[in-house]
Amino acid sequence: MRWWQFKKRDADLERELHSDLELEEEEQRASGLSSKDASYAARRAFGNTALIREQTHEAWGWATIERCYADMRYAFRALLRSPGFTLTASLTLALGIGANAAIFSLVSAIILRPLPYPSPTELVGLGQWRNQKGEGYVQTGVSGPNILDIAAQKNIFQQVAYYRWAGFNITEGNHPESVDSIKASQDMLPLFGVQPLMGRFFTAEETQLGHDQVAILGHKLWQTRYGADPAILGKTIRLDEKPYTIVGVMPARFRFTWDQEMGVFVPLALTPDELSEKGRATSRDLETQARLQPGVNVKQAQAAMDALAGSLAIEHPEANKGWGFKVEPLHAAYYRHIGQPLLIMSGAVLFVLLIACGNVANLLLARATVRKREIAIRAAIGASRRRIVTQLLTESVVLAAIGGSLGLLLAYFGDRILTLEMTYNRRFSVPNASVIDLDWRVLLFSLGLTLLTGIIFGLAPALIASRTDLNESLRESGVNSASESGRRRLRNGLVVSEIALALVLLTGAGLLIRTFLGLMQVDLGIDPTNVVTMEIDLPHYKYSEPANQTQFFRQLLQRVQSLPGVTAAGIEQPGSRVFFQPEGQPVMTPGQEPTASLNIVSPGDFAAMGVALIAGRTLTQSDAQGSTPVALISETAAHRYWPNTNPIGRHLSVLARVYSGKAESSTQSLEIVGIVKDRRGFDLWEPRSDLYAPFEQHPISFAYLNVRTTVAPLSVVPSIREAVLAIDNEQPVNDPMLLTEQIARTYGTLRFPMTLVWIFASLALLLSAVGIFGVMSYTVSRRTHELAIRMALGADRLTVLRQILREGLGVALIGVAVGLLAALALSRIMADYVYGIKATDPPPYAAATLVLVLVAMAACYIPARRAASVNPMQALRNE
Amino acid sequence: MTSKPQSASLLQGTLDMLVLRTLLYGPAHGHQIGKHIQRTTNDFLQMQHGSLYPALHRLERRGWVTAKWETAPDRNREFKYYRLTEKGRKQLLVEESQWKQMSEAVARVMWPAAEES
Repeated sequence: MRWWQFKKRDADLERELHSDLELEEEEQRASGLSSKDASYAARRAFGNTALIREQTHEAWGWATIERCYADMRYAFRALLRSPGFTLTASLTLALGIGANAAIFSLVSAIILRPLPYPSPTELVGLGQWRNQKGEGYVQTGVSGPNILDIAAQKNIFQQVAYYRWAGFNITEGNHPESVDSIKASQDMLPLFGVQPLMGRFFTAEETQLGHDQVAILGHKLWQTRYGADPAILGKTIRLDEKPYTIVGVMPARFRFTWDQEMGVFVPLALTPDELSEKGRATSRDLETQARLQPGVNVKQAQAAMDALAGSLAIEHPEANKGWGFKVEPLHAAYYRHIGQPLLIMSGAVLFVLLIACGNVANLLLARATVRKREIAIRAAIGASRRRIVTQLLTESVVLAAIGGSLGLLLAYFGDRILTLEMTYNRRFSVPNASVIDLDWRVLLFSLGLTLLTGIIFGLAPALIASRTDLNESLRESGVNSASESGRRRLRNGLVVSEIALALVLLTGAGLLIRTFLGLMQVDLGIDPTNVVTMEIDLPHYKYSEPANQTQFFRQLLQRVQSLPGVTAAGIEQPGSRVFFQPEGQPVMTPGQEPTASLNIVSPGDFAAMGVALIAGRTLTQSDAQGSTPVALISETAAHRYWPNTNPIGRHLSVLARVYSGKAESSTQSLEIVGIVKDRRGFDLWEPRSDLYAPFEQHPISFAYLNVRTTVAPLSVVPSIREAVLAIDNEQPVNDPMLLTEQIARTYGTLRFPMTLVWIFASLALLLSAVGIFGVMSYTVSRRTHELAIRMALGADRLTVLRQILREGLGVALIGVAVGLLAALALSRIMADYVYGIKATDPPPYAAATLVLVLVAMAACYIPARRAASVNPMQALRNE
Repeated sequence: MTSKPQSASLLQGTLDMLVLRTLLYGPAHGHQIGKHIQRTTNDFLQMQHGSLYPALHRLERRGWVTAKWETAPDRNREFKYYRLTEKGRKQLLVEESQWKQMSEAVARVMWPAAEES
C-alpha cells in the first residue's frame, strides 16, 4: 500500500467498524436494552476499537512506520509542552555532542583522512634511529650509501626516494624572493603516483652533479609568478643567482609531505663524498620515503630492515654500529606526535558527553515520575510495555537529535576556532590543519553518537517508567513503592558515575596545570625584558667566503652597539646537536657519547641575553681567528661530562652532528674557558648541555641578532635596519620580535591544548554539579511528606538538614572513590605530559577531590535547606 | 459441554480458516461473519468480533478475499462485503486438510482406545 492511500484506507476502516458497532447496538436494543445500555453492551461485545485499528494497520504492513511517525509527532508535542526541560536537556546534549564532533573533526582530518596520493598505504617513511644518552630516542634521516642498500631490497620496496629541504631565493629583479623548495631524488616525485601537469620529472642524469640545474615548478608559483604561462617549459628560473631550466609543472592539487605547497623542486645530486663509504656516516640527513611492493606490509618491511641494519652494523661498524632502521606508515609518521594528545582530548570529550547523558537520564527519570499517570493511561487503553518503551525511546532520540543538531552548530564554530589557532595564530601545529571541518565522517560520527546517546540516556528511564503498577499509578498516591527504590538506585548510580568521570577529568586538568605552573617557574637562564630579537640570513651566493660573513656581522655589531638606547648587542646561531669528545676521557660506545648543542655566538650575546657567567671567563674580542680556539660550556654539560672535576682549562673536540653525521666545520680542539648558566628556550622541559663558541672562530651566515635596550626595544628596530642597509643595501632583517613575546609564544603552544582540557574539565564539573543538584532537589521534593512527618514528630531543622546532606555526601564520596581509582588507572597516559611531577602526584588528586566534594556539598545544601524549612502542617495538608 | 459459554482463544490460523469457511456460503460483512461463527459454535467461540477485522484485512492483503461496499438487500444501507476469491477457495482446502490431519493426529494421541472400538 502506498502511504498516500493510508488516510483513505483508515477512513474506510473507521466506517466499517462504525457500521458494525451500530448493527450490534441495534440488535442489543431489539433484545430490550435501553439505548445507553445497548451502546455499552455493543462496545463490550465489539472490543477495544483503538487496539483493533492498530492491529488492522499492522495487517496492512505499515504499522511500524506509522507508529514511528506517530511516536515522533507525539515526542515533539510532549517536548514542546515542557520547554524548560527540553531546553536544558538539549543544551546539555549539545555541549556533549558538539565537543565530541569538534574533536572528532581533528581526528578525521588528521588520522582518518588518507594521504592524498594513490595507494597511500604502500607509502612508508624510513629513518635511522638509536637511543642516545642525554637525548633519548633519536631518529634521523638515512645516509646515501645506506639508502642504496635499502633500495636494493627489491622484494620489499618498489621505490626508495629521498629529499632535502632547500631555502632558495628567486634572484630575478631587484629583490630576492624566498621560495619553499625541495631538492628531490629522481624517484621522489614519481613515488607519490602523480603525473606532472606539464613536462616531465627528473631524469637519472639530472641527479648527477653538474647536470642538476633543472627545475619543476609548483602549480601556485607557476600561476602567480608566471601567469600560468603555457609555454613555460624550457624557460629559466634564477635560484640563488644560478639559472635553472624549467622542465615541468606540478598539478594543482599536489602537496608535498601531505600538506605543503612547494614552489620549486630541483634535483638532489649527491656529492661523491656523500656517496662514498665516508658518506655512510655523514649524510644521515636525507629524508627518506619509500613505496612498498604490493602485498608487503610494514611489519615485514621492518623485519627486513632490522636484518639489514644488523648486517650493515657488522660490515660498516664505524658508520652504522648502534643505529637501527625504522619503517613506519608515512601517514602515521606525520601524525605520530599528535596521536596521544588527540587520544587524551577524545577521552576528555567522551567523558563530558557521558556526564551530559547522565544528567539527561536523570531529568528523564524525574519526568517519567511526573508522567506516571499518562503512561498508566496508555497502558490501560492497550499499549504493550514494548510499545511504551519504544515511544519513550523515540522521545529521547528526538531529544538527542535536537541536541545533536545544536551540537553540530557548536562544532562548526569550534572547528573554525581550532583552524584559526592552528593556521593563523600557529598556537600549536598539526599536519593537515587547514582542512579541519565537518566532513562526512564527522557528520556520520555525530549521527551515530546522537542515536547512541539517545538510547543510552533513554533506555533505563524508559524501562523503569514502563514498569508501572496500573492501579497504583492511577490512584496517584503511592510514594514509597518498590519501583521508587529502583529509581533511586539508578539515580544515585548516575550521580556516582558523573562524579567519578568529572574527577578523572579534573585530575587530568590538575596535572596539566601543575605542569604548566612548573614550566612557568623554570629558570630560563636569560633576562628577557627589554630585549628585541630578529633574524639575519646572509645569502650564501653573495657571502660565499667565510671571511665576508664574519666581516658583515662584526661591522653590524659595532654599529648596533653604538646606537642610542642600546646597552648590549649580540648574535647567536642556535646550535644543532653535536657529538663531542672531552679530551683525556675514554671514548664511549655508540649511544653513550657526550652530546651538546653547539651555539655560535658573539661575545656580547651573553650580556644582551642576560646569561650569567658561573665560573671562568666569558668570550672576548680577542677570541678571534688565529688565537687559541675556545669554548664556554653550560652547567649541565659541566655536571654531566666533567663530574667532580673543574672543566676550565681542559679541552674538548667537536666530532659530528647527531642528526646528519656531518663533521662540524672546525673539529680542532677547543679550550674550555668558562661555565655559564643553563638556558632553556626551545625545550622548556629539561636542561640540555650547551657549548658556546665565538663566531670569529666559526663563521656563520645565519644568526639571531639580540639587542638589549634602555628604551622601548621595538623602537630601535628602524635604526637597526638602517645599520644593516648601510652595510649591504639588499640585506633584509626578518621577524623582529620582543624576546618576551617569543617566550610567550613558546608557552602558548603548551597553553592551548591545556586550555582545551581545562574547558572540558570545567564543563564536566559544571554538568556534574547540575546533576547532583537536580537529583538532590528531586529526592527532597519526593520526600517532603516523610520529612514533614519526621518534623511533626519532633525532629528539628538541623537534624533534617544534616540527614539530607549526609545522604548526598554519601553518594558523592562513593563517586569520588570510584573516580580516584579510575584516575590512578589512567594516569599512565598522562605520564609523558607532566613536568617536574609524577602522573600520580598527590596534589591534583587531592584538589580535584576537594573541589568535587565542595561542589557536591553546595549542590546538596540548597535542597537540604529547602527541606529543612518545610512547614510540616502545610506539607501534610498538601498530600 | 458446560452450560456456561466459554471463550476460547483462537489460533490465528484457525480464525482465518473459519472466516474463509463462512464466506463459502456467499458474501458477508464483518458483523454477519462474527455472528455466524458465534452462533454455529453455540456461543462457544465467544470472541469480541472486533478482533475479526485485523484478520479480514490480512486475508484481503493476501488476496484470499475481496472487499466492496454494497447496499444490503434487505435495507437501504451500505456494508463492506467480503467475497471469497478463487485463491481463497484453494487456501481453504489447504487449511482444511491441514486442520484435519492435525486434529486426527491429536485424537490418536488422546483417545487411542476409542479408535479401536
